Amino acid sequence: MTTSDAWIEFDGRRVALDAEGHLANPADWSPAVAVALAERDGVGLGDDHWWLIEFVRDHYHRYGTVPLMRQAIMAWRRASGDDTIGSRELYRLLPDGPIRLACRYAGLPAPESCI
Amino acid sequence: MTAQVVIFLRAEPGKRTLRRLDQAVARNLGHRRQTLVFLHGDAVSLAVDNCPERWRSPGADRRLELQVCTAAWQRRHPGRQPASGWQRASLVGLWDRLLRGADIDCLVDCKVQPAQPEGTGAEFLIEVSAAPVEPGSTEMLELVLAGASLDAQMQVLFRGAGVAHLDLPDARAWQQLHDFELARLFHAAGARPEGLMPALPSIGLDSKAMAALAHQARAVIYL
Repeated sequence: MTTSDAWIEFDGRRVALDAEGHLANPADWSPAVAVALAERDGVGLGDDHWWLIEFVRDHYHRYGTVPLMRQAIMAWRRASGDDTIGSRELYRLLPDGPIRLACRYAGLPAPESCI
Repeated sequence: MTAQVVIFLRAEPGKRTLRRLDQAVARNLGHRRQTLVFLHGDAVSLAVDNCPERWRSPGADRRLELQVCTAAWQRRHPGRQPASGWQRASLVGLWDRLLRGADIDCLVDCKVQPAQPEGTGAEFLIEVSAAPVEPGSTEMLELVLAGASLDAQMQVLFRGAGVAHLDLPDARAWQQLHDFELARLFHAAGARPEGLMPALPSIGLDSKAMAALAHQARAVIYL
């Protein structure tokens, strides 16, 4: 994989990024693209990362908005049955901004709202 | 600076609303209250021009903050900066002020009412009477989600033209308030055709129950 600020290239294919490092065209997303985007940030994707990525993709397609941290925590608790999960666990996954980065790896546009 | 009063403006102001805004700013500064004017929705157009000189009297500027919602501004004026005196700010910041006890000042024309003096409840009541027209519909939901992100306890009441939010396709985005228990949802029972079930689950209220809801709320924000 090779990268620049404007694109990532892997498997002989170049995928364009916007100024904030999100896919310029969300239709370019695939699990392999998610891995490449995360590697670009030095993040290796584990099972919990994939759960979060799938959650934000599903939420976006279901409601048309990016989820709040509060919603991600509630969904994770429901999925795992572990009521002790909180924002700390999300930040352990993606310390530089769990929802923002999950959106990037999920191929969603950068959130435009100011929440 | 912590705002003691938030003057919240959503609709693009006409002359009458501007006069009310002027009076509200003068009244609050006259009482030496720290005052935040927050523009949202189409009201952000007010920040195209510099803030009025009369708000810049000696000593007043230390007590007056002028903010414009970043997302609403970007949607309408991409690539531009608000005029001198106005600062971009987030809806979460606005909610932080409200949750720390700032009052909402009354601007009738933009449908924001002051907190009910009798209101002792913990919940904010957000009354949606505007029809679902973009980008306003998205922005109304963003306002609610911003409150939810700070764990504000909220009730949303759809009435008048706002009950159209209860039906698809608009109900799709608002459905998350129900699914994630972010707010309790109500609608004016008489504003919907009898027998037609809304796509968005909400409780129908008669006028007496709606009045009680507003009376008990910590504050009422009319959208």
